[in-house]
Parts: sequence; C-alpha cells; structure tokens
Amino acid sequence: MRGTAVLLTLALLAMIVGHYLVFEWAPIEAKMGVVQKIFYYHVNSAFMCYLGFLVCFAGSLAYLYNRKGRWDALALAGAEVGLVFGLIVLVTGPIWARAAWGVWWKWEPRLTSMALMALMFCAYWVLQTFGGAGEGVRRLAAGIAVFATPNIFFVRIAVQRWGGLHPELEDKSSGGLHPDMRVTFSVVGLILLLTFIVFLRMRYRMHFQERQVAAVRRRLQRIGVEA
Amino acid sequence: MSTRDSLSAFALVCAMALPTAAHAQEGEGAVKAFQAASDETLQDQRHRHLWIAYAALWAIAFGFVWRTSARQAAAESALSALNARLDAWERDRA
Repeated sequence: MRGTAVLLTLALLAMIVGHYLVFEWAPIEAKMGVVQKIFYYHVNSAFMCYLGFLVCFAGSLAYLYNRKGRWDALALAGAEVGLVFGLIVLVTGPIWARAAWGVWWKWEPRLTSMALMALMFCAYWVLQTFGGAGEGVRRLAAGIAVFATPNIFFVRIAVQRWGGLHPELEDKSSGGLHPDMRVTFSVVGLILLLTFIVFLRMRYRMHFQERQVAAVRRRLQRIGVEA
Repeated sequence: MSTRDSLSAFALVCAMALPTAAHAQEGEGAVKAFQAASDETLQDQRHRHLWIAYAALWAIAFGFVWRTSARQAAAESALSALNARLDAWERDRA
C-alpha cells in the first residue's frame, strides 16, 4: 500500500507538471485557439487506452495457454485501465469536437471505430464482472479480448484509409507540431504512461486480493466453518 | 451482484452511450438568428470547453482511484478476517 501511495503521489505531481506545460508553456494554436490544448491529454489517453487493451490481450492469451488466475487478473486490470482512458478519450473528444467542428459527434471512421472498440471491451468487462467466477466465463471473456484487440489497428488506420475530420499530423515530416507543442505532447505521454502503470498495478493487486478472498471463503465453506 | 456494482455498471454504460446522446442532441438548440460574435466571446467559449474537458479528466481519474482504493481496502480487511477464522479453526482442530 505504501508503494502505491508513493507512486500515486509521483503521478499526481507529474500531472501537475504536465498541466503547467500544457497551459503555460505550449503555445496557443493559431486556428482553434486554447481549446486545442485538449489534444495533449486526449491523444495520449488514446495511446494509453490501446496499451491497456494490449495488456488485456497479452494477459488473455497467457490465461488461455496456462489457465493461471493471475494472468486473467492482469487481463481484467488491463481492460479496466484501458476503459478508463478510453472514457477520457470519448468524453474529451466530443467537447473538443463541439468547439472545433461545431458538433458534439460525427459518425466519422476514427470516432466510430474507437467507440465500437470501447463497447467490445465493455462487453468483456461486464462478462468478467457479472458473469460469475467460473472457468468457462473467464475463457469466454479471454476469447472476446483476443478478438477485440486487433481493432486497435483499424482505429489507427481509420483516418488514412477512410478519411474523416481527425487531423493527420503524423504523416508530415515535422510531425505537424510546433517544437514546443511536440515537447509538451511527449512529456504528457510519459506522464500518462506513469499514471497508466500506477493504475494497472493498483487494479491488478485489487483483483488478486479479491480472488484470494474468494479462495479462502470457498475453503472455509468446504470445511463447514462458513455457510 | 451488489447495488453498488449495478450502479457502477449503469454509470459506465451511460458514459459509453454519451456519443449517441450527443448525436441525438445535434438538432436541438437550432439557431434562430445570426449575431456577430466578438473575438472575446469565441475565446470565452473555447476556454469553457477546455476547462470542462480537463475537469472531466480529473473526475474520471479520481473516481477510478477512489473506487479501486475502497475495493482494495475492503478486500484486505475481508482477507485478514477470513484468515483469522481459518487459523482459529486449524488451532481448534490441532
């Protein structure tokens, strides 16, 4: 618990530094104005969302291979942290879109594919949380995660393949960003990576302990100490 | 499934349905007249969107940390209580 508290404090301090860079150091974008500053956390949160789903994918594959509960706990923790960052993307995105495009939502390829992928992992989470503790449920959930994760590829290529309103900054040789914006973007990325690791660690430990509680309770029921 | 779990699931599904709700609202608030906006007005609106976005980010992050910490603390206390009962049973048996 102490290690978690230290890491959380570090992440919090790093977030404050990140906010300083975003609000004070990075220049204001010429066309969109200050609202473009949503970009730094919005895009990096999308990367952390992908990372969470990739952790879920790896954990699910490992669980399907060796059936060890800790891999399933890691997969669930990865999906949950991915969903938290996905929620940040899907909440901050429409707020930015309203200011930049004039609408809250457009059914354009990247938005739609991102929302669909988040819904797939929602299905995974609902199954894991409310489907019971059976082996079959866990295997089914792992299968869903394995098939849902490749959607990251479609979300990433959506703008290049099918167009849409999302900026295509990564195609330009300069990265499409002012040098100060690029530094801010990279630093915020590292800060969110630290936050991601802290969140994943916390969630994994929580699931691991909850499973230990369930195991001890089952043992007590078997020996007749608990009803 | 506890009431709290049900409420969490409901809140998550509602949040995920946000884009659809936003889409449904596109037709609302149709413009009745065009007015010239000053540069300050536009900048104020953009500041408001920026603050809302960052407030949402912090609310989601704090909610996640708070909920995880609460569940972890509950699991820790349940585990120590159950282990104590198991130890007591093993002592009685010996």
